[in-house]
Amino acid sequence: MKGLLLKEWYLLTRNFKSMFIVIFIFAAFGFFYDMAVITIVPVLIASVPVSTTALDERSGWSCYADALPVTRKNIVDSKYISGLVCIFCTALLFACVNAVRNGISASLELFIFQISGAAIYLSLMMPVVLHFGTEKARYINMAVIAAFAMLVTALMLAISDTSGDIPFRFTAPALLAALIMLILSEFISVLIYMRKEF
Amino acid sequence: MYAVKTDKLCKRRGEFLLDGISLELPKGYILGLVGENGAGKSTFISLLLGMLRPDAGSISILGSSDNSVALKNDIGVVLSEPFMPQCMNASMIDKMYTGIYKNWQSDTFFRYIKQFNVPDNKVFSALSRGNKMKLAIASALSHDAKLLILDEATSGLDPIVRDDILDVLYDFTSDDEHSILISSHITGDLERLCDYIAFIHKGRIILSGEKDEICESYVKLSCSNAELKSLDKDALIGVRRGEYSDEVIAKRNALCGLTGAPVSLEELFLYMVKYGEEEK
Amino acid sequence: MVIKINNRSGEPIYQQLYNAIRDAVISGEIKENEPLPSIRAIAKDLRISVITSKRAYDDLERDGYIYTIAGKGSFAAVRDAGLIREENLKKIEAHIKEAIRLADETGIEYFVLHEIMRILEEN
Repeated sequence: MKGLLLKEWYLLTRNFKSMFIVIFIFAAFGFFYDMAVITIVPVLIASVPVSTTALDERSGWSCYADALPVTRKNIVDSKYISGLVCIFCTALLFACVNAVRNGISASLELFIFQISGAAIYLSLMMPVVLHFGTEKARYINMAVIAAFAMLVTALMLAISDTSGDIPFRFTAPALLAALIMLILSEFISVLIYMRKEF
Repeated sequence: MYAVKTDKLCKRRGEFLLDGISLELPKGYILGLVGENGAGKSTFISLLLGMLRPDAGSISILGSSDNSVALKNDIGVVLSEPFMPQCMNASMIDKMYTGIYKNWQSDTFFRYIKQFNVPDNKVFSALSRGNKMKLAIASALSHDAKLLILDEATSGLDPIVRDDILDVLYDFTSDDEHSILISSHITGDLERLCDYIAFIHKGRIILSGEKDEICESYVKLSCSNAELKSLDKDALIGVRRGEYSDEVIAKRNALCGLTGAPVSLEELFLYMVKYGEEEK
Repeated sequence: MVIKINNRSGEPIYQQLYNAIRDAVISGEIKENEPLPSIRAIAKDLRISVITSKRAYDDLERDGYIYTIAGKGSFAAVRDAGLIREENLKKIEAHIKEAIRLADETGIEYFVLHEIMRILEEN
C-alpha cells in the first residue's frame, strides 16, 4: 500500500505541476476578490485520481499491477486516499487564505463545505471511471462537473446570506452525506475493480 | 513439486479461444512457451497472473492456487509491453517497490541497473525498449522471487542485450529452487536454455515435453517424391515441397533407411505450423 | 578439462558432454575422487539446459565413470583398468570398422589392411 501511494505521489507531482500553479492563482484570486468564486475548485482537484487512472491505463500499469503483491482493493483505495489528500490540502490552503481575509469561523464552514462537495464528486466519479474506463468516462465526468457547478451555485445562492457565508447548520449534514457516499462508493468501486479483466 | 501447473485451462476472448491448456513446469527448471503472435501465449500468462479469469480449468503456481499477495511476492514478472508509469526513474521505482515487495533488495536492483548499463537518471518513457526490458528484468530479479515469468522479454532486442539477459537467467537458475517460464516467438537463443518446451498454436498446445527428447525424436531430410511416398504418413510432421526435392521433417523412428539431420526447434515449429497443415 | 559443445554436429549435446567427461576421467585428467562441477554450474557455463547436463551425469554414473553423493555433488570414480580396457577396445573396433568401410568403397583387399598393420607395428 505504501508503495502504491508513493507511486500516486510521483504521478501527481510529475504530471500535474501546472495544476499547482492554477490552485495558487485561484487562491490569490479568492483573496483579492471573492472566496465564493473558488468554491468549486476543490471539486476540480478531486478529478486528479481520475487523471492518474487514465495515466495508469495508458502506461500499462493497471495491467501490470496484477503481477505485484498488492490486492485490487489496495489499488482502488490508493486512488481514494490520494484523491482525498488532494482535496484536503487544496481546501486547507483556501481556508487559510479565507481566514486571513474573513476570519476563522466563516472559513471553517466553507472549508467543510468544500471538502464535502469534492468528496461527493469523487464518490460519484470513481465507480464510473473504473467501470467504463477513463476514455468513456470523460463525457460523464464533464456532465457531472457541470451539474455539480450548477447545483453548488444554486445551493450557495439559496442558503448563503448576502455576505456569501454558509450557515453552520448546512455543513454538518453535508459532511455526513459525503462520508456515507465515500464509504458506499469505495465498496462499489472495489466490487467493480475486482471483476475487471485486463 | 511444480512451479507452474495448469489443467485444461480455457478462456474465450472475443473470437479467440485458449483451449484446454495443460502444462507442467517442475520446480528448478525452465519452460519455453513457443508460438507465433496471437497464438495465446500472453493470454495464458495473463491467466496465470490473475489479470484474466479462466472460463474453465485450474492453475497452481508454486503449489498455491489462491492468487494471493504472498504468492505474488515470490513471482518476478516481465511483460512484453512497457508497463511502468512514464514519469518514474530508477530510484523512484526502487522506492516504490520498497513499499510493495516484502523482500525488495535495493542494492541488488542497483547492481543489475549498473551491470545492464541502464541510465538511472532517465524517466521510464525516455528509455529505449532494450533499457525498459532490462529495468523490468532487474526489478523481477530483485525481490527474491522463486519463479520468473517472462512474456516475450527478449523479442525486439539486439543480440548483445539478449545475450546479457540469457546470462542473468542462467545465474537465476543456478539455485535449484528457482524456475522460469519464458514465452517467445523466436526460439534461437531459447533453444539451449530451456529444459521443457511447449508449442502453442491457435490457442492449443500442439507439442510439449522435454526439449532434448523432442529434438531427438525428429529429423529433417531432403528427399525425392518416391522417397517421400515410402514414408509413413503419420510420421510426417511437415513437408515443404520444392521443384527438385522435398524438405521433410519426420519422426526419427519411421525413416525406413533414409538418413536425416538433427532439427532445430525453430524448424520443427515452422514445419508443424506452416507446412504441416497443408499436408493434411 | 576442456568441453567442446558443437551445436551443429548431429551428436546430441548430452552425448558430447558425456564423452568429454568420460575422456577426462579415463585419461586421468580428472583425478580419482576429484569433485566435478555441479550440474547447474556446467549447464550455465556451457549454456545448455539443466536437463541436458543432468542426463549426461546420469549416464556417466550409470556407466561407472562418476559417482554422486546426495547433497555433495559428483566425483570422478576410481579408475577401473578393466573398464578402461573395454572402453578402448570399443574405440578401436569403431576405427577398424571405418577402415573396412573405406577399403570396401574402393575395393582394397583386406590383406592390404593386414599388411598396413604389420608395417605400423614394426615401426
